[in-house]
Amino acid sequence: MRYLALALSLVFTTNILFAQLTAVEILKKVDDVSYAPKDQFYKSKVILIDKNGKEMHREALMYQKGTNKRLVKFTEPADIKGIGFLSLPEDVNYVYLPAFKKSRRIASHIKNQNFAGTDFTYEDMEALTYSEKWEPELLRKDEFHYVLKLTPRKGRTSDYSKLIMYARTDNFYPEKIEYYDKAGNLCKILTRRRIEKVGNYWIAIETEMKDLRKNHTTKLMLEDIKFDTNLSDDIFTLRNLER
Amino acid sequence: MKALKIITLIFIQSALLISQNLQIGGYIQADDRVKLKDKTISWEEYRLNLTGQVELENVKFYSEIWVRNFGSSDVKKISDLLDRNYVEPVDIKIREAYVDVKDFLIDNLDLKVGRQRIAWGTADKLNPTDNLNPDDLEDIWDYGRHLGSNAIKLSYYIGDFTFTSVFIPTFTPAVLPRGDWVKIFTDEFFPGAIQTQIQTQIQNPDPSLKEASKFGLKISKRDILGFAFSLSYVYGRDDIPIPYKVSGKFKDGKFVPDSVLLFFPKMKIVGFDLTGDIKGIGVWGEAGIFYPEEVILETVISNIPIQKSETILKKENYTRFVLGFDYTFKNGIYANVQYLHGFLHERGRENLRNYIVFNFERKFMNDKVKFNFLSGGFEFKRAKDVKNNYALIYNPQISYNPIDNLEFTIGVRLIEGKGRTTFGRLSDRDEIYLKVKYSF
Repeated sequence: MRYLALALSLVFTTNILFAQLTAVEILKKVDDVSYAPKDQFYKSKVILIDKNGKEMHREALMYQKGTNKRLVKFTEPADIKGIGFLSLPEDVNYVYLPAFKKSRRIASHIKNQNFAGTDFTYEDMEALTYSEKWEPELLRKDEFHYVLKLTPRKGRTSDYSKLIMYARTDNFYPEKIEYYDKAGNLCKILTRRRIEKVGNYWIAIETEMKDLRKNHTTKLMLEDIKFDTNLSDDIFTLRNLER
Repeated sequence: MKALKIITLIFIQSALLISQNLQIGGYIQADDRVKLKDKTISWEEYRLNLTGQVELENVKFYSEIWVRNFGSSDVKKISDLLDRNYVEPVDIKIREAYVDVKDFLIDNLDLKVGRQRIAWGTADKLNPTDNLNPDDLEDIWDYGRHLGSNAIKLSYYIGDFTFTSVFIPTFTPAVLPRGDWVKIFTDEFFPGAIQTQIQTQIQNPDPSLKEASKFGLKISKRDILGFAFSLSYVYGRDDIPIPYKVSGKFKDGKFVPDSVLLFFPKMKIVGFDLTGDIKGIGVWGEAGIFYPEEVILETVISNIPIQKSETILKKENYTRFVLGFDYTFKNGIYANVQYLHGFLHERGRENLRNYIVFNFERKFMNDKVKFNFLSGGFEFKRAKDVKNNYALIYNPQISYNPIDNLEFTIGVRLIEGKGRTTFGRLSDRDEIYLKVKYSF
């Protein structure tokens, strides 16, 4: 009975603490859970689904270190195999096109373009924390979610006017994000499913990005997830991108 | 005997180990073009591209082979019909075959040995600093293509810097455009030299390292004030020959050449390029400053005791350069425009022409359809004489990917030109084309 009372008071205290969290603190916790591992690697099966339900498949490898280094390399299908994307600090991004045997620095105009036919744009692929890029405002809190409105920070450019983020109240994992275009229309919805704890970290095994304008969906299914394997900095270099 | 067995066993095991890592890929491609004027076939190519790759921990083996058939047969006499090689000739080319060793001897030093493509420069396909591999101009519409070279390349990485050195021990000339397309180079080889009635002889360099080798050095930095930058130096021979002696006769008051001797002049090339972003627009610039050896053309007239000499390539530097930008508009239209001064075969300050190459495209149906609706180029020598000396190429094209790995491309090339321009000489070569490519 004494333990039950203790547990209830702990939950009550925690709830009060969370209830008092500011939007900035919540977004910081979202970053902490999203970018908790020192580094991560996974294989991603990508399914593209058009408005008629027809599917196309891709496969990619993803390496991430800290909050601002990311490398993505496509391994399937054959016509895009070898295409790579490297995101580095200070908004430096490169794409490698094997047909030309060259990598090219990406100018910011391309950020609103879809990456390799998916519903993720180059901007969506950037390795930036939410706090670095977005100014948060807490809209509401319900039983399951903190609902945040995110607008681009001063000095940061984005193709979106705002994001509405649904972060889980129990672990701050961003379960759903709505993307609004410059005209203020809802254009894309990101939904994360099968949010599981792998080792010490939360991760969504399935992620879906739906483009409402095209009625097109991209599903990511993660496999072979590895955390904190001390990925070398050499992985996040042009040298490795071009190999 | 026992030692031999052990060695054989090790060899078989190594081969099995490597073969388990072997990744095979490539594509098959059919490329057919028909001239609009007389409905004749202007290009017919069927290509099998095969790549093989084995990656061990720090070592990568890579090879790329083209197996091609150009449709037409080489039959000239009845006995040729007995030989399949004449009836349906197959052309096999090793594009690349190299070993790439990471952290060779010391950390951050990579060694690449073998037949390889060394692509320098940041501009799109038109690269004045891309001078190590010989030009492959076989298909003039696929400009920017190069042959592989048997080379040794060392790259050292430190921080944001990359230092690259390349040594190519043997000389290989460029491949010129196939068939009568070569007439666009008329001015470079002496008028008439590419026609069969004039005897031509090309003097290859001695096979010594001093005469035949080429080397290059490059330093690149990933980020200087938001731009990627590189500086390079190449020393070797130009891969397109230049005439140095013409013999002929005076007939009916004019000179009629009967033989032309050509060679490959030496040159030094200092290059630099940069690429970056200005207010969201992708921009790049690339320049090659060429320092050629002087070439004097000697003209020998056999029926008159006159011999004259003129300098056709001065010992003064000239610069080929490219300035370009690309931008994606909010409506999804992608624009890519480049200004080029000096096409890859043009030499000498006074011979460099100007080219504006443009491409505006938009994708539809979830990127399955790409329409290059405003694509082509404009060539002129001098702005003040543009009315009489120009070439305009309009090349709209539609690509369609019905399923992964399969692409159909259909397009048309319309060429209009006046005066002595490179592409103006092709103004009777308007064509429609269909390309089908399947990757595996």
